[in-house]
Amino acid sequence: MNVLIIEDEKSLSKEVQDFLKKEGYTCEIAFNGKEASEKLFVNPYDFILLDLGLPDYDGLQLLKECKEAGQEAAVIILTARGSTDDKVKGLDLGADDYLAKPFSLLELSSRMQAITRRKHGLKRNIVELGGFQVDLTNRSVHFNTNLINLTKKEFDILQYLLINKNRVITRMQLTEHIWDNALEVDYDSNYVDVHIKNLRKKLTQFAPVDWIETVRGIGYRLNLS
Amino acid sequence: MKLYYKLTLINAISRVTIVAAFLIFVPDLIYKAAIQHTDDLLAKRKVEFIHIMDKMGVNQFVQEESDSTYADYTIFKEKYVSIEPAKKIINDTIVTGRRDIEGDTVEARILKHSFKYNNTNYLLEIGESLQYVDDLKAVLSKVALYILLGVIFLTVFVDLSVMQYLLRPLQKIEAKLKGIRTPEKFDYTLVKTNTTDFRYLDRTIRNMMRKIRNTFYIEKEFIANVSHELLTPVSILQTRLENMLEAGNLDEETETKIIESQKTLGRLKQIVRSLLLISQIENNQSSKEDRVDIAELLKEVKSEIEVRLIEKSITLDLELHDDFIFTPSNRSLLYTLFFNLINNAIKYNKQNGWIIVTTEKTKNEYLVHIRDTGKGIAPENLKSIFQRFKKLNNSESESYGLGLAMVKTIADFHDVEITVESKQNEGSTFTVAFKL
Repeated sequence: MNVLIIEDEKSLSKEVQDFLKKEGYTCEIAFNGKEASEKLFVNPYDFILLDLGLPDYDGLQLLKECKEAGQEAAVIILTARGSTDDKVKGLDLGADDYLAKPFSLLELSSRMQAITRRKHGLKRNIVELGGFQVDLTNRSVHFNTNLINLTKKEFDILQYLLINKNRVITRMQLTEHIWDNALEVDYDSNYVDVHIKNLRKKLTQFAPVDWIETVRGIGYRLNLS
Repeated sequence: MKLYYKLTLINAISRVTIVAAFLIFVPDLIYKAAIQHTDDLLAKRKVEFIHIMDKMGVNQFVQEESDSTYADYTIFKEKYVSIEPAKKIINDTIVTGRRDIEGDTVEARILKHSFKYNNTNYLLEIGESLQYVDDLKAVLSKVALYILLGVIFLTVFVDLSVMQYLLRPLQKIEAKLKGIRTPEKFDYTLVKTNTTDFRYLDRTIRNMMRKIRNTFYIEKEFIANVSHELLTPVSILQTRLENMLEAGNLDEETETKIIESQKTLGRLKQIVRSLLLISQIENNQSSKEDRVDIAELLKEVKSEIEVRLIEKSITLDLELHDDFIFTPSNRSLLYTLFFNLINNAIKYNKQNGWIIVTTEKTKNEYLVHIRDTGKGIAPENLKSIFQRFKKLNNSESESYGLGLAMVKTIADFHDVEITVESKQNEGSTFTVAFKL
């Protein structure tokens, strides 16, 4: 899939590019609005990562041009402005998602995956996990016919581990993901562990959950072949 | 006391003093003038009388009376003349004395003149009653009293209206200053007046307000810019650390260090985001369009925060009595406000401690009390806990010193009042008061 990264900060765009390349995306970078505008009218993209704070261009204007150019790409706005106004305006102009800087690369890739799933119109998005059926659309978990009652946070954790399966997720990445409001994150505590413990407890009533692995000192990994 | 009343009072007092002085001294002065006038009159009459006696002879007056005394009065006993034989000649004198005139004792001014006639010494007394002087005095006192009262009422009335007119610009300046919490809300138009003092005052206040506003603005802008500028390098660091971990070819020690660095970076992120949010609220860039059920919100905060209670086995009780819908408000900011307050109550609580959240509706307010069994706040710290980067308990738990500053900013934004009561080693109670 083709990604256009529109970001004037060279180091940041390079880190994003490095990460996405490993994830299997093809990336192009535009360092300013003019460059981006030219690229938009030439190449088709699947994803556009748009920094709103460009030196030469109003990011929201670029978003408009994007739609005018007939791009079918999903647009994720990256911004340091963080004001809700920008968010609303961006989403109104047809952006698909919004990430406030500083963002986690894993969070970015999860959002991109979520958009892809949505775009491909998967009505029922059920993943089989060691006997459990995880419904990502309805946000529910079943074991055969039994509905397992998970809290919002527990489901968020399970889903995040699932989306990033076979990869170690640090406690911090999980923490930042499940607490929408960054201000409430307590970086020195391991409240995530409590949620994982509860999640495991609820699931093991039905079947062993050895596929959730604790990676000592780092975090967790969901092993799925 | 207001200047307006003070001035009126001072004016009234000064007038009362002047009129009172008039009341005290004027009758005396009049009395003295009357005496002087009477004395002159007596002297004139003496000359006239002597002239008559020269023509008609003294015997004419003396012989008619039995005791060789002559006395003559006018009808009202005001004027009086008497001649009687005297032993010796004395110089003319004028005295105030009492004379019995036909059974009445009358106070009078008397000119005594002695003279020799046919080898007999005579004493001539010419008198003028002083009754009219006393009457005058009484009348004057009465009139003065009426004038006094009249003057006081009139001047107080006139003063009040004149002062009010003159002091109106001052009252306007006062009104501009009343109830202003931030220099942004100050009315910068000048008050119309031609009184130079008020002009000076008004201009000075306006200029100082401008200076304060600019300083505020510069500070706010600085914080907004700094936090904004910090976001980019922090973003780069975060993505770089993540990429390093992703590479997966690290030894355990390096991996641990990177994870520790991520945590540190997380704290930095949190500080920067908090500062940004505070400056956004202060610059009125936050919306205020939600209807928030406070009791519902507290329940939500509780369910979200419950996981944090486990570590210290803290019990969090909600005792929600009355419903209250707060509108217009910003839900996510209010959420942060209560989250931070309850989170602090957890952070600074003791093992097996309690947190009790109660709501209460009074006549004018809806109150939310958050009471904890924590360490409490030292009295000397109570005033500064809402300041940025103040740590409550320096030694133990970490605090970024922004949690309560954020609470205060959100409260101010919503015009909600926050108060704290605290006893050290017993606990603190934070009260959030919503106006009804």
